Amino acid sequence: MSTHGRTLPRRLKRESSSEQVAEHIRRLIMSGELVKGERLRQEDLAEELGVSRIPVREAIIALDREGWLDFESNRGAHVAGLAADDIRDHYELRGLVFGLLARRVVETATDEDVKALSALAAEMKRAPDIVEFAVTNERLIRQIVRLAASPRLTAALLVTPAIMHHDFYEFVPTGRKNQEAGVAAFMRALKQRSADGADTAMRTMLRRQGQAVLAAFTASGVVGRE
Amino acid sequence: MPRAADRPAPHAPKPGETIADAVARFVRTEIFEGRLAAGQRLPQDDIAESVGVSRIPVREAIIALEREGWVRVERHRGAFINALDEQAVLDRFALYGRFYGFAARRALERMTADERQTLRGLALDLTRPTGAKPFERANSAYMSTLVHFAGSARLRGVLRSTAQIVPGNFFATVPKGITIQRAGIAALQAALDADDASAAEQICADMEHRHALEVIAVMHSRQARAATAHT
Repeated sequence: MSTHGRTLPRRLKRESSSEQVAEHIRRLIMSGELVKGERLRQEDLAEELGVSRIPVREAIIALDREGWLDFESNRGAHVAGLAADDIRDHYELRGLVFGLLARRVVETATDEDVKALSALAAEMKRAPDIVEFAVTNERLIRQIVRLAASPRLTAALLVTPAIMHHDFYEFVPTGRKNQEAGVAAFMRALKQRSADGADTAMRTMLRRQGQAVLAAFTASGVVGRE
Repeated sequence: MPRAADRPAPHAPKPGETIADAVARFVRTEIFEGRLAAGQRLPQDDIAESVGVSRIPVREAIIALEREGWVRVERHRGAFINALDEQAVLDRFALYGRFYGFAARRALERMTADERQTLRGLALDLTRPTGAKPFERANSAYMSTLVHFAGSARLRGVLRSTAQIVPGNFFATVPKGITIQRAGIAALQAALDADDASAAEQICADMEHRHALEVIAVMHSRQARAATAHT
């Protein structure tokens, strides 16, 4: 989706096999095929995906860092699960990271940069469908991350990744409206050179997206089925 | 990079660490001490040799280090060291400040009366020790309990990846850290007692920012020393 750090680096470099395995495991958790507390069977997964144990192990380490799994070398990897609080907390934390990125952009963006971002925001608003909307939004977010020029904050996005990557706006009906309102508020703050305003705009947007994701997961039964 | 035989420091995994964790710890230290420089490609074979392990745990360590912001991975080209400059330190501690502020807010929402009492006791323990080691122990008891009482699996996951910039005992490396942390936790605990989540968030942000400035000072002197050693 949207403020979607996870998709950014993936577009820049082709997916490695461990990233593909990680994506597969995320989907199993999101679809409810793997439930909270369940032990991940590494051999079965490797066989199912036709890869060696090495990318599976690498994927597990990445997902442990991202909070999807709890991995201890002597106990194996267990699914951390998706509860309502997890989703709320996740987007809140993601908002904290994006708020800091937004602050940096206010500090570093030139007038030219602001103009370019404005043009993208306008293009996003005109997008005729959600596919085009998502693509433009991703360009805008990538630009924000680039302008912030902070490897540490960019890395923090890797550990608070979007819970959903593809189909976000189909799955979350109010997603587009939230995103447009959030980007508009961010742009207003950026033009006024208000770091506080830009920070608040991002945090508010991500909190709303978290509520929207939670509502969608609750409706589909992934959350609240334990 | 010096070989294992030249270095007295043991790179063997500590209790509870995997081999990959030990490799990651080794790489963080090398970067912090200025022996691995920004932009340089991570010498995976040398690292494997220095720590005395195969390439596999080195690759695993890189995955963790990428998520912590120490390196960036370019496919088919390898892992490259990210700059550990002032901005990186400020950003890292700004993240800490926000994450601990979040912990404080959630803890206020979720703590029981008994848990509040426990935390108050741990804050008191922090007023006594003066040495780096006992202070570090008391501090990590307080911080980890705060995070525990926040009851957020997501927060714990994120904090695990917000690895410390300063290797080893923070308070041994950053002497002014004790004063900053002691004052910060006293203020934080007062805000928690007053049920003031916004004040708690601000206190965490300010405290971590002060730490960042101290770390920058320490880093400059270390890197200057490493530069002299190279010439």
